[in-house]
Amino acid sequence: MTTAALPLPKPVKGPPLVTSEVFGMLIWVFAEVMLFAGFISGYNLVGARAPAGWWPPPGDPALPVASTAAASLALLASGVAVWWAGRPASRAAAGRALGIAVVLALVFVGYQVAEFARLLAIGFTLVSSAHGGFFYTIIGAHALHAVSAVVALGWGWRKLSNGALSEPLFAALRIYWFFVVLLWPVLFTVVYL
Amino acid sequence: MSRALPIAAAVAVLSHPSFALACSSCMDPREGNRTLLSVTVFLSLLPLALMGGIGGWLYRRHLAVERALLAASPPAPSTER
Repeated sequence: MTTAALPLPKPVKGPPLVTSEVFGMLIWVFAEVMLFAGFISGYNLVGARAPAGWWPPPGDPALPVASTAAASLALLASGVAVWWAGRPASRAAAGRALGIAVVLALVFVGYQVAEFARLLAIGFTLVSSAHGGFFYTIIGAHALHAVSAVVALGWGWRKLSNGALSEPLFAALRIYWFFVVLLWPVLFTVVYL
Repeated sequence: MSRALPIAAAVAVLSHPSFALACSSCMDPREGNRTLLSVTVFLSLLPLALMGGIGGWLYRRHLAVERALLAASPPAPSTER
């Protein structure tokens, strides 16, 4: 005796849950968040264990809070521009927004280079004190990320202008830049204020 | 709920520092040791929060894709003759 089986419905293949580019970037950002969490924790711990009035060490120069805050506005504005570029819009509009973001990011990176040069010139170096070591490690690591992200944004901008930037790759670039932008207020608050 | 409360109470009692003697800085009022405790908590919970966030986002995406597929798929063949 045979039983007639109903035909099984064909499995429907839908869109991927998440693209490889975006998932890879999320894992990368995860690792980076943990790296900076370790830096911030070490900085807070050393500061808390220093004798009262000795953190930052009295001999260290005051960090330029006002000018760095102004440069931070350029970085935050570039984050807004990248967000704007990711909205559904024409390729030309997205390209313009991405171009503005690259210029603003270059302003921030340029300011940091100038600030590092000025601080090094007055003797505040990686080895001048524990505070100097933390400053250049934490802010320098962020600056390296900002430089690499600016290079990536510039590359993405060029590809977008040629119409060769895929949406998943653009999404991954945006995630990386948002990480760099959103991390900065945390570092600024911890290290400068 | 009725089982969770005694278990939570037992965990709280057994993990009390004076019983466990495992946390030398938990009850120390000095700022350096309090910071060490808060840093330990921060670094322990942060990866869990990140993983939970990514997992939750993926689950929400999964539900959204499933709903979209259900809305787009044709109705299943009827078994009635």
